[in-house]
Amino acid sequence: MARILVIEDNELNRDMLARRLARRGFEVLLAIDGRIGLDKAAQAAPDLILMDMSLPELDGWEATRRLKAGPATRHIPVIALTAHAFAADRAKALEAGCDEFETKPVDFARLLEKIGGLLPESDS
Amino acid sequence: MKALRRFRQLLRRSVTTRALVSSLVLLGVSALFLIASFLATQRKSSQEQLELRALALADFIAKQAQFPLLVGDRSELSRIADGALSNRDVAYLEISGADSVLIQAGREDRKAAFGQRPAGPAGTAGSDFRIVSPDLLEVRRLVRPPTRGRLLDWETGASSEAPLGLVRMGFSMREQQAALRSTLLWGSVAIGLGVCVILSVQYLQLVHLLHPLKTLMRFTDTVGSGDLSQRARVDREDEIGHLAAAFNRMVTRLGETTVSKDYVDNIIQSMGESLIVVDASMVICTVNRATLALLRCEAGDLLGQPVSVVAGDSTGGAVQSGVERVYRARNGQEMPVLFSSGVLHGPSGEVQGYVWLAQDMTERKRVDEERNRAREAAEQASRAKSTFLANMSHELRTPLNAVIGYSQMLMEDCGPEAEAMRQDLEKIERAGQMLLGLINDVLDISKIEAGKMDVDLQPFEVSPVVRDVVNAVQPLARQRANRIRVRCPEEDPVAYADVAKFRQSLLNLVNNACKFTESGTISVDLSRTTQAGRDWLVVKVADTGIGISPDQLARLFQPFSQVDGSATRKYGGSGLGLAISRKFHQMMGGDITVESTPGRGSVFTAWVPAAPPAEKAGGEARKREDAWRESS
Repeated sequence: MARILVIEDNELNRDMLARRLARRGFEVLLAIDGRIGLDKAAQAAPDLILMDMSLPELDGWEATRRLKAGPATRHIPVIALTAHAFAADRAKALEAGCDEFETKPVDFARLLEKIGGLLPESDS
Repeated sequence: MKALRRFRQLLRRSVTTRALVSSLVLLGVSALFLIASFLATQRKSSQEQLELRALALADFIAKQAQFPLLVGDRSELSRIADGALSNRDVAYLEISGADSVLIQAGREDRKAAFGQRPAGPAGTAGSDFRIVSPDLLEVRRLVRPPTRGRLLDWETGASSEAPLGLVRMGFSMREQQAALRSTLLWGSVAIGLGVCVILSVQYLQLVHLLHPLKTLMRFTDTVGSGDLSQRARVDREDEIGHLAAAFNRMVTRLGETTVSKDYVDNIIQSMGESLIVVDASMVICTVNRATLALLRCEAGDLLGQPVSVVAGDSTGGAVQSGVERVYRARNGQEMPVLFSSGVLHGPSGEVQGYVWLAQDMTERKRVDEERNRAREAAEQASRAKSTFLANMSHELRTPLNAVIGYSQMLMEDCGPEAEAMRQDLEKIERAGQMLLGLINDVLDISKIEAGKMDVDLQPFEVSPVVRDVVNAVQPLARQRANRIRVRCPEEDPVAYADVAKFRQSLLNLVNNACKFTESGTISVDLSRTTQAGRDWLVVKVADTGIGISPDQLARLFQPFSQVDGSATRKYGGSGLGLAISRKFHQMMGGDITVESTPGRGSVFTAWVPAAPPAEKAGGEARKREDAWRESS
């Protein structure tokens, strides 16, 4: 069962994502800000990270950069979730190291596809 | 020596004096020469005459004394002597016999001569002229016996030639000398008068000649001080007259050319720029009115001052152009100016000074500052707008995400037994989606109108996008019983545009087509064409729907103009879709056009560039350039 770490500061979004992913069979870990997210990523070794870009404490770009820099976490695929859909944001996300990019409001079906594409072996 | 120097100065200074002096010298020398030669000749001739007379008289006396001497008639001799002395010129007379003086007669004052032996040189036999004293000539004549008939000496009986006696007569030269003296005097007087007359005449002539020159000099001064209206009087035909005429011509020409002082002065004072002329030691020597206005001072405050009182430093001793400088006004205020300078050269190339030209820039600077401030304010407002839009975007979408997301989630939870609930949830979700759509449209149009909408032009394959859109519209199409048909050219068409915007506008067009068509066909045709030097992808979305009337067509692409009020209520939509779509296409370099027949259907044509513009054109140009260079 794949473990997904959701780093999102908005309560509603976090709740929605967590429950829907859980229903799909994923093990969901939650973090409410960038710093906690980094810690959890290092500790719990998730298989994928869904990163909201606009976070308090440490924003999504910086967090992604650090994840990709850390030896324990660099291999974890990261999908950036952002409310802005500008090409600049897409470029910025990819530059920071994100593997994928999704705009909010999240099209859940599409998100699932992308998750499936990034997981090493998808069991579900 | 000093007198000599002063005299020479006088000569140098006055033509008249020089002429007169030279005339005087000439005349004087001539006169002297004349008088000398005249006197010499006169003296010679009168001397000769005197001698002749003396001789004649002596001869006469000697002749007369022949017989008395012979007979020794003393009284006769005395009578002869008296007779001789009655002649004014005779000073004394001595008749001596063979060995003794017989008669001596003379005027009182001359009697002293008797004792003297003659001092002068002896003369020839028979006559003797001796200058005894300065005014006395002595004549000696031997008295010979009469030549006619020889005397017979009764006693001896021999004839002799021996002289009987000697006549010695003193002849006064006084009168002659006096005459000479008088001649000299009157001659001198005459010549002196003559010289005076000549000199006077000459003086008058010179004055007459030079007077016009003096007038011309005065006239020159008048012209020199700038008055070009005067003309010299030409009332002579000689060289002076010609000079005056030539002068007049020169003055006329001066007046005609623009180099006249008044004209140049006028220019300098009328010019709007400040003009300062400094001499070689950077001291101000000329300023114009514009300078005084700029620096708010009087000419007296600047003339003679070093130019550093105006410009802080003394640079400006070279040729400069268009430099920004600061002049200091009288009250210390700093005036920004646009500065240029040039070098004044003298006739032999030496630096005489510098010309400073300055243009008041305060106004321009003020305008610049205002413009800067306005720009900053505008930029600030722009930044505020961007921030607002960005925030709005985020703030509005976040709660909607929750509405949509939760309803979707709940719908997933619903089992078959909760079908009614599922349908209610679906309504919520749909409402949420609609609201999201409206918010997106409003935000889009706001961004576009704020000029904050950016385009990200990339090349991309069109077919996948078209497929996505058609899939997305399927539910609505099925609902309206419409058929969607897509026609694509053989090769995969590529467009150079903003993918998201292309997708959005295509979705909008196809959605509209479905909305306003029932049980009809919606066709999406892709084709390529070249027009106006560019390659285009042409997307035609045609429907067999209700169509659009002409006046609706006119307002079609304007925001909030919905074709049909009822359509909105039926199908939703913000009325912004077409306006946004068209704007998107225009931003990408193309456009959307429409044709429609009410009742038959509509065709929306979207033009999308197939390739980047500049590169293409640039490439062509560069290729042409290279060919040219290679051929030449």
